[in-house]
Amino acid sequence: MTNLDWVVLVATLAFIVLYGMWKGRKNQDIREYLLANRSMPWYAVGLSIMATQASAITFLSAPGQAFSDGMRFVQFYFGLPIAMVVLCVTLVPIYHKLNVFTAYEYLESRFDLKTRSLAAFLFLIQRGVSTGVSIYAPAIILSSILGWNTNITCIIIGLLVLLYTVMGGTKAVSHTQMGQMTVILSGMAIAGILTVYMLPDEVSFVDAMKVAGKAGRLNVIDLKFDPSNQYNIWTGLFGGFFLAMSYFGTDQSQVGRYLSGSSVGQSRLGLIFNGFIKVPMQFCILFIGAMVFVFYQFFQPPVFFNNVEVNKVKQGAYATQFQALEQEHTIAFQAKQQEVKGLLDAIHTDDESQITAAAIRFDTAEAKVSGIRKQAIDLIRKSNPEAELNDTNYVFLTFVKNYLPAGLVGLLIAVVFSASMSSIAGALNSLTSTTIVDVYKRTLRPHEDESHYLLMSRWFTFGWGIFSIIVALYSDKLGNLLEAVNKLGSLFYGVILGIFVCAFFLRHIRGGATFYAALVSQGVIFALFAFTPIAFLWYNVIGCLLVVLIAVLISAGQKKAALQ
Amino acid sequence: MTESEDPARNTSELPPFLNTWRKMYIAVLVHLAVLILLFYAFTWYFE
Repeated sequence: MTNLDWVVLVATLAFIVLYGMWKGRKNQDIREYLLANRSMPWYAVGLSIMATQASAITFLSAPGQAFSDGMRFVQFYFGLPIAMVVLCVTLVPIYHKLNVFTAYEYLESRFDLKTRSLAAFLFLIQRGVSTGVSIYAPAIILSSILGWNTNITCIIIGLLVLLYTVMGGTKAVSHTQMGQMTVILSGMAIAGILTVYMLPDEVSFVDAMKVAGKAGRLNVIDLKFDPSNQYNIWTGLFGGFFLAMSYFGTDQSQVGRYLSGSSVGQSRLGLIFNGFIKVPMQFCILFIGAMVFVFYQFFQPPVFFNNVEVNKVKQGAYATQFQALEQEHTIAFQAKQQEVKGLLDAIHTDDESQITAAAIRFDTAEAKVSGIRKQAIDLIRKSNPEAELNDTNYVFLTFVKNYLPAGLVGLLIAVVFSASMSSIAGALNSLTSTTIVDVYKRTLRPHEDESHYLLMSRWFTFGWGIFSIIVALYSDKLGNLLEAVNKLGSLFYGVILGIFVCAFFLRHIRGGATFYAALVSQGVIFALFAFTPIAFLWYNVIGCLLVVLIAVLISAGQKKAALQ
Repeated sequence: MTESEDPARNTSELPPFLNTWRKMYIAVLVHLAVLILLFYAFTWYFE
């Protein structure tokens, strides 16, 4: 990174942190600290919802995903707009009417304390651990590409967030998230435009899209139904709907965002804003990845994007073999470049038979390059069986570092920090809300004054922040479990959603039936995760339906017993 | 459930566009349907 990059990075982050501290400097009580006194306008609610959901990995992983697998990942978000509508009609007005701080408060008024506590407990486990991973995941990527120390990067990200969340609470979180989303969206837009601009002069934007399309990178829609495939339209619509219902309807990190809206209407508009924006935004981020793929058809990419793993293999017993593969990769890439040019010439002729023949030659050349890459990955595995073999998350930032001009690299690193900080801040705020409202104030110390709860809220925010940093520092020990932790949300969301579905829509079901149904269902979901290949999005559907089904059966059994 | 018990209907605040919440929700769903159709055409065209 150049000095200009450092200036841009430090200035952007300093502005965001100081702005958050200034905006959140006056907090009188926990209503103001946890809900911003329910004063936020719809656009602040909408951007805050978006910023909490979009972690750094969203902006690093999605372009890499499109680079290696195409744009079908966008289907993951198809259930979201439908869920936004359902939430606006059902949960949002009820939460506002009941004047709750957390989603779980409602469960006690509908069921009982143990069901409220179970849902709050499940939330605290999964959100507490996943917040740590949210710090670690971008830190490891930044460290690998920029040569920074991973632990120090984790600590810096965590402490920057703590500076304004401890002091300012929800108000600081929401206001900084607006600034962070501005940085993120402008940074990504500039990166996208520059990617196309940096293509060779003879390659137009339409040419680039046609090359990406022929290489299978513009495959947005997949209509084929396959429950083991994460990204087809059916998984996206059904699994994605249940996931979004659970995440936005019952996860306090999101419920807390729209409860800060100044009215039911403002909260609804914030959600609807996401219903309109999220899918096109994700499409654009993936499209940048597809353009990065085209860029790397003309400029040679590394054989493997994770430089740390490459350096390890080069220092080990397989160094000579790896270097030979790198040379082979260069030769194969040069041969492929000729085929790309041939494909472009064929595209310009508009002759379908020529285009098909050129596309087949290109596919053959691409397969050869991919084959060499696979051999390189095998060597990395042999050299270090615990090496991370998926370099998808490293593609975009490697491109940014190697090809974007000075200043913009700093801006794009600021995008990664901003995305990371915005989702962590939302998570810490929600962990505090649930701890103080559903545990501390409800069970441990119910009769203290407001100033005590405000002080304890700040301490809990600080405590959760430190806990998350510690989880992040130990995340490298998780090894292959890291992927499992990324799926943590889906392991719990379906069951939590099932509890809320029983609460809202099945009036005859009582707390006991729901509580035991949730316990059994959670066990079944863990078993499915351990012993079956089912795509994780389906856990949301299965978990929810299981809770409802078992609760209905228990309830029917109780009714029958009472009649006898 | 009567209208007075239904908090969704009870809210007096109208959306800034399209006059009613029902129209707003339909707009979100139509927007999604149009996007899926456009994406399908996009996939098919560049395949």
